[in-house]
Formats: sequence, C-alpha cells, structure tokens
Amino acid sequence: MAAEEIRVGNKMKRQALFADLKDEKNKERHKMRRTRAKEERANPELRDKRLKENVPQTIESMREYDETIKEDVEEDEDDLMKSFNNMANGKPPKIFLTTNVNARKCAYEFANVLIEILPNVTFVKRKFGYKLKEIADMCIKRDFTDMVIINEDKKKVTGLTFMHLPDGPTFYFKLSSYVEIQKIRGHGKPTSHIPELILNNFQTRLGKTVGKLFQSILPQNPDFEGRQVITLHNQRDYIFFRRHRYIFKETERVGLQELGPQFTLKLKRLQRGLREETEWEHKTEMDKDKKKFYL
Amino acid sequence: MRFLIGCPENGSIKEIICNIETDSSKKDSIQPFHSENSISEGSNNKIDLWYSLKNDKGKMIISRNNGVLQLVNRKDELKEVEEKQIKYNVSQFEMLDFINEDDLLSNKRLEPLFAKSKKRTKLLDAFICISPLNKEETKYLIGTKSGLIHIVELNDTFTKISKTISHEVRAPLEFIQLYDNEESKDGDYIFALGGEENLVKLFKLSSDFQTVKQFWEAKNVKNDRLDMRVPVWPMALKFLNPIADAKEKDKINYQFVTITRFSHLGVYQTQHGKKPLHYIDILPNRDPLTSLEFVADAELITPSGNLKSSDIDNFTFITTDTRKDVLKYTNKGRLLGKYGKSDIVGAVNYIKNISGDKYLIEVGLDRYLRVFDINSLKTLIKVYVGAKAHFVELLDDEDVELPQPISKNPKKRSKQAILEEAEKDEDPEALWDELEKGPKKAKKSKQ
Repeated sequence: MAAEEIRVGNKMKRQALFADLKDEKNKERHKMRRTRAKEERANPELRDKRLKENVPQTIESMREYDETIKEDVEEDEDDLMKSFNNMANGKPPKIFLTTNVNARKCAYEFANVLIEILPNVTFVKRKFGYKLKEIADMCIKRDFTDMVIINEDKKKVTGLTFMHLPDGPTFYFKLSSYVEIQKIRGHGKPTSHIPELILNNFQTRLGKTVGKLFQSILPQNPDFEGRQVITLHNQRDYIFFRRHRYIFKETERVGLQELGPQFTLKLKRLQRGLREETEWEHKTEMDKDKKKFYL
Repeated sequence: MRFLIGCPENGSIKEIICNIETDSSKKDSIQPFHSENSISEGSNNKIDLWYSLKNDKGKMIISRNNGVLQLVNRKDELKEVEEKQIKYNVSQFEMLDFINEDDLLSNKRLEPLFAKSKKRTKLLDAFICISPLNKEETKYLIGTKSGLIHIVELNDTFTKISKTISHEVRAPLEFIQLYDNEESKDGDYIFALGGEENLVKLFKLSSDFQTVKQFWEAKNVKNDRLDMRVPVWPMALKFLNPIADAKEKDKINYQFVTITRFSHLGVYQTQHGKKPLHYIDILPNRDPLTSLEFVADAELITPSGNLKSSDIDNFTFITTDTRKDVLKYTNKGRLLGKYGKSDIVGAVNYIKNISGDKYLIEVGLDRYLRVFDINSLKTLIKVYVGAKAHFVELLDDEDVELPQPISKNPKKRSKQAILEEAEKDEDPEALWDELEKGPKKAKKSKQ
C-alpha cells in the first residue's frame, strides 16, 4: 500500500499506518543497499559502473556556459610577474597590514591571525589624517609589495582589501563566517613551518586573477616537514579559507587536523590601479541567476 | 565585420572577424570566425593608439607605451576555411620604419604633477592623439599626456617616418582635439587641450609647424553654493561649427563641448565668454566621465569626431564612466538610454561611433568587444577578446558570406510551398495524360 492510498479517518491510526509503511520502506532500502554493497565488494567494476551512470545534477554541474573557462590566459609571463610577486623573480612579498580608521578590538585580533598566516608582514596601526595615496606612497618608498587593509564595522570584521603596489590591482572581499581558532573543536596548534597552498576551483578568467592574488601573497616554497596546508576553496563564488595539518595514516588514508581559523571571502570588487577604474564589481542583480558564477 | 583591437596586456593588435549577431558568451550563438594576435611586443611595449591612413590603405602609425612610433604596413591575405566553406581576409603586418627617440615621452615631466594629482596610481606618460594635419596624410600632430606635441612626417611613398619638431605645453593632458570642421584661412592649425587642473585652452600651430601659441583659455565656473571651488579636470572635448551669424566679428568664434572627471557637461562659446554657456551636472555623486562621442548622421561627423553643425542647443552625445556605463544624453543632460545595461561589468576604455548614427563599438576592462546599434541601443555583437583592450578600429563592416544554411526542420515548411514545389517537379503533359485516362476503378472489397 502506498502512502497516498491510506484513507483512514482516525488521525492516530493513520499516523501509525504511515509510520509502519515508512519503516517497511526503509528496511527494504537498507536491505537493497546491503546486498548491493556486498555485490560491489565482490565485483568492484559494478560500483564504478553505477557511479558512472548515476551522476547527480548539482548547481555547479549545471552552471551557465562561460567562454573564459577553457581559454588560456593571454597575458604574457612578463606581465604576470609585474602584477604579482613571484618567487621566480627573486622578490618575496613584503606585506603592509593595517586596519580602517578607528578600528575596534576585533580588527586587531584578526590582524594577529593574519600576521601568522601571511609572510613577511608588518602591521602598522592606522592613524587618522593620512590619505590612501599618502599611505601607498610611503609603502612604495619602503619597498612593500602589497597592502592589506582589514575593514571593521560595528565590532565585526567585514572585509579585506588587497592592493598590489605600486600599480594595483585592488581586490575588495567581503569577509564572513569567521570562526576563531579556539572555537574549532579539536583544533591543533600551528607551527612556524611555511604551509603548502591549495587553490581550488578558480576557473574563469576573473577566478584565475583572484587565484593568482592568493598565490602571490601567500608564502611559497613550503616546509613539507610541517605537514601544514592552507586551502582556498572556491565554491559558487564564495572562497573558503581553511588551514589543516595532515598525516599519512597508511598509503591511502590521510588524517586531518584543523588548525584554524575559518573564514569565507566573497569578491565584491576588482579595480585597476590603486582603486581607480572598476574592472569587475558584484551587483545584487547578479545573484538573480543561480547558475551563473563569476570565479 | 573586421576589427583591430589594441591589447595592452601583451602589447599586440588582435584581429577579430565576426558577423552581426555573434555572441561568444552563448554556446549556441554564432561564434567569431577568426581571432589572432599580431605584432606582440610584451606588456612593457603596449600600444596606446594608432592611426590608419585613408589615402594609402593598409599603412598605420602605431604609438607604443615605451615611446616608439612605428610605421606599419597591413596587407590583406585571403584565408579559406574549408570546414565552414567561408573565405575572409586576414591582416599581415610588416614593419616599415620607426622612431625611437628618448624625448617622445617624458615621465619626468609628470612626476611633480603626480604629487598634486588626485590619481593614486603613478602617472605614466602615454600618447593621447595622432591627428593628420594635411589631406595628403604626410604630416601628423602627435600629443602626449606630459604636454609634448610632436610633428611627425611621412615621406611621399609612406615608407619612412621622421620627427620634424617638438613643442611643449602645460601638462598634464587628457586630450588634444584637432579642429577639422573647416580649414583656417591662414593655413594654421587649431587644436584644444586640457587635463587635471589644466583648463581648456585653444592653441594655434603655425602652418610651418615652427610655433605653437595659446590664443584662448577658459575660466573656471563660479564657486558652488558652499563657496567651494569647483575642481577642473576636462576629460574630452569635441568641437562644433562656429556660430554662423556672429555678432562680434573681431572676437574669435569657436563652439565646443567638454565633459569632466566631476561629471559635468560644459558647453562653451568663445563669443559668449571664457566661462561656459552651460555647465550641467550629468551624474549624481560626481562620478567621473571619461569619453565623448557625438551622435549624428555620418556626413555631419568629421574624421576627428567633431560635429559639423553650429546648433549648440541641439545635439546628442555618448559618454562613459569609470564603473561600467555607456550613456547617451541630450545637450540638456537628459538621459536617453544606457548601452549594454547589465551586460558590461568593467570600465569602458574606448568607444567610437561608426558611420555616424549606425554602430557604436566599445572595448574595456571586461575583455569584451561589443557593437551596439546607436539608435535602438541593442547589442549586435559581443565577442570575448581574451585581454583587456583600450583601442579598437573597424576595418570592414560587411559580414562574412556564409554558405546557404540548410533548413534544419523541413517539416515546418508551409503546405502551400510543398504543393507548389511538387507542381513544379511534375511534368504537366504527363499529368494531363493521367487525367485523361479517367478515374481508376475502385477495387471491390471482399465481403
């Protein structure tokens, strides 16, 4: 008897009947799964075949066509090196970190976290009365290659601005879902080893530019003995920041321990130079189309 | 349609060939037929702009960001694509000559100006104007951001390029606009220039190119209602014809329109005075405007983009901002429409109206080339260029001939058409014979 066929006036009885029916169905399903698993253990090809045939449709797999995904980046290497730091040109990044004017405690706490993550970083407390142009000028004179500004609003860290010096570009990210290290269950203590970097799923031309930013600003030449890894995973234009320590339990299984912090970035604006013409800007109407992604 | 696009990221010219209704962002739409980079010299030698000669087709004067002026020959070469059964011409470039003198660009002149500038990114010198001075197209006025004006000459066969003389004017400059509505009586050349805190000035270049003399300078508008000085930063200027029946004959007679980085539209009449006739706020929040193009019939637009009309109270123009908008306005500052509405995502670097009131081509930081219908504002072509672009030229506005498309769904043909076709195929004599035989006897059904 199917659930629709239950036509009993008494609600209690109807519910009981329905629960029985559901229980029966669940048992059937579990039985089917058990037998299938048994068959597949005996013959692994069956499993491969099943997985190949039953690919679930996700929003990502149904994403709107974007011609920039498969195209090669047309800039020559020269330009990439000019726009971004690269270890190949022998110039490691030197980062200037500051906050917005009149920042609250949380901004400084977040700055402490970033100091641990970013390499060769100098934190300077933001003072009132200096224009962005003057700050950039001072940084350029002191050979800083990047400027990172923490934006705080109403006692919450809301954004991060990355500026490449001296000629830009400028990235502004919205920052959300910040979880402190202490609040992560079973978190580990990071060591001073330079972590490895995983950039995941930056596909479009814009995505590659953003990936290049993180590639250039985060430390390269990792210390593999530290077994630490920073992941920046892009999913539906949200970039998830995670830091882990891994351990090889055996040849196939890997154990992970989260080191924290966790936060999510969303690109809001990309500008040429130091906040000059807009190259790309997120607009609310872009969110209308659920299957269109920009990174 | 054939386009040449200046891509700064690899210092090359990219040729794109496509038809109207091409949209590379849609998988099932028509895709461009050809896309190829040429004369690439790296991002340090990016191309600022170029001028294609009208007399000797194919010759181009290209200015590069490293201070080099190149004379290039562009030849057409027929290319056949057998798979698609199409033929089209593609460009082959050949370097003829170049000028590589240190004094063509001067970053030193811009250094003290950068300290005062409102721009945060360091100012680098670049070429902003290549305008032919004579009909033979052998003499050119070439201007730079740092206020250098070079006179460059080509030989009679258009194979050699050389610099004749250089002049200096007050920097920084955003534009140099040559007045080509009418030829001056004494053979002098008139041009206007302006830039950040550099009011619009009219200059006279003598016919022998030896002297450059300023003969008119605009005055800033009155302070605003808070008695604050209105900042000066004209971004583009276009001339109109002079007033036809000028009252004061001894006063100079020019009319021009400017747009500023503080979103003003300035309408000037030199007969009226040094202050603008109208100074209209176009955008809220004083967002910067960057370019200016008139909309009019093709015969009313000069090669430099000026308007051959003296009616200052009746013109339409297109302008762009630094966010993403391409806007069409009347002379009163009334918005007539936006091109590419939510489609454009990056700032527009260059717009040009082609054939007066037919097409508007646009390239910018979002790495797309778009062509709009000027009047209906519709997007006709959208092609992914692959690199940021800041200059574009339309070589040919004819579509590539495609083989006749075979109807995908023959069932959809009307019944009438099928009957007519069948009638044509049949031999009429045979049909008459058939009819004359009389009707066939119907078979009796077995009971």
